[in-house]
Amino acid sequence: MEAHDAARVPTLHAAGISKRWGENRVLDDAELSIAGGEVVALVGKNGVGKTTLLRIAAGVLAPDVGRIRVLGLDPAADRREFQRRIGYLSAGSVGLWARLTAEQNLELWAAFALLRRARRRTAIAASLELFGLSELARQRVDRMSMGQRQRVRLAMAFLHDPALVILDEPANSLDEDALELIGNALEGLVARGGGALWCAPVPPDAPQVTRLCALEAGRVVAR
Amino acid sequence: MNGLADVAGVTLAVVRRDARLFVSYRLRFVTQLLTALFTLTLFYYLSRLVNVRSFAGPDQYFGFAVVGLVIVQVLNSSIALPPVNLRQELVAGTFERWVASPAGAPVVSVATLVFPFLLSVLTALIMLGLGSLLFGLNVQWVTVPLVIPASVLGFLAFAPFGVLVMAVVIVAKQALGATTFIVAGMSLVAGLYFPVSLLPGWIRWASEVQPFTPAVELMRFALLGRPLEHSVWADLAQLALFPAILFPVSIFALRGALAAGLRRGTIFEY
Repeated sequence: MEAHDAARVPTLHAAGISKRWGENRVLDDAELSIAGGEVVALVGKNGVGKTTLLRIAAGVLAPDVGRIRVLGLDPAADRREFQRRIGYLSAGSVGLWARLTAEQNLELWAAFALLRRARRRTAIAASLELFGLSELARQRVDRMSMGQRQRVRLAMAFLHDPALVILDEPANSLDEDALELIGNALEGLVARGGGALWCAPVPPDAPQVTRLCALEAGRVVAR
Repeated sequence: MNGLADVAGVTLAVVRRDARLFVSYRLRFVTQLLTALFTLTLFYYLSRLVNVRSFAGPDQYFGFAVVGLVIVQVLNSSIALPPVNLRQELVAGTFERWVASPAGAPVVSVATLVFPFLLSVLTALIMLGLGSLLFGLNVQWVTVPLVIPASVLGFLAFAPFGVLVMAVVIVAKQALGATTFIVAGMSLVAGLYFPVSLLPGWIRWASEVQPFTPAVELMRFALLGRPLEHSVWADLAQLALFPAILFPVSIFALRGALAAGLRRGTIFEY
């Protein structure tokens, strides 16, 4: 992560974001900025567009209107560098290669994240340890509990040392110990000058959250 | 991306993943072998009925058909399998990972074509071995090394069709009809099971304007010593020309489909 970049420009800057699904305008000129060292919680009722906004911020969905920047990087102009700086936990329990082990999932993601070969082993071991998965590293994902799978997904989100971590309902299926692991990971991220966006239907019970926002009528409002 | 080294790294990782997934289904390889054996047996006995001017005898037709079957393996691996695999990735939410990765979905998409191709080559070799051992297939070992450049060029020529079908899946979610049409159409006009000279004149042009015919002819020349209509170099050049034109076109289409998928949200199917 480039801490000097984080100090100069917002980690995430979303401006004038609008998105429509059919007749339903889910986001309407939404604005959101996250500075380095901030952990922002975004709450809102089911179906208000939280996941849509997160997907746009993560670069996996294009807005109809508006612009998104991560450390000043435009996904349309420099997609690779944009994605390199983002750690993304998608909604639900998807995005794992179920018949591979936790370690093999992380190995594959490390390759997709273009981590240098020399760095991969250390990064994978660190991420497994961060989420209490060292003992489960060689267990196949389809033989894990939902909570353990969620921890593998979280380990993938933090693996490549991103500047911005986007988490869509990360507390799903997690017990108290695992929630503490997310807190530790966020503390490490913030200490390195990174930022995080934590999305949930209700405010998360996490001391690391520095600011609470809500999505209402397509816009982000402070709480 | 640091150029070719990164592309090679991603490709290697995807091939390793696909190999791990393949061996995790323990009976898959056995069933594939049995299918190959049954198909060979079927064509062996069908060939016993063949006594026509185009072939010197049943054995010659059997060799002709076996090479056709080998090409069908490669055709299926490069055209029919990629959309099926891509759809599984869409449903499992792992395609979203490709898109969210610094490597990017186009690189990962192309990388997923490699393992099915390697597997089809292995299956093809096994079919040839079984054909030779069990049914007396007469392989011309002297020209067999030519199979290597011909199959690599063949794969490169067929792969753009797979990429194009993947682009269709990203936009339309399904492409089964398209792949069935392509594979069945190519089986007819590329002379996989019968010589193209038997086709009516009005359709014969179709055997010249796609990469499958030169691939089949080169394979038959290399494996069976069957004479070529053109020279080896002419067929190799024709085979090399297709990827040179089709690869950029297919990657352009894939990027367009991805851009549309990002706008319309069709990359999420879970």
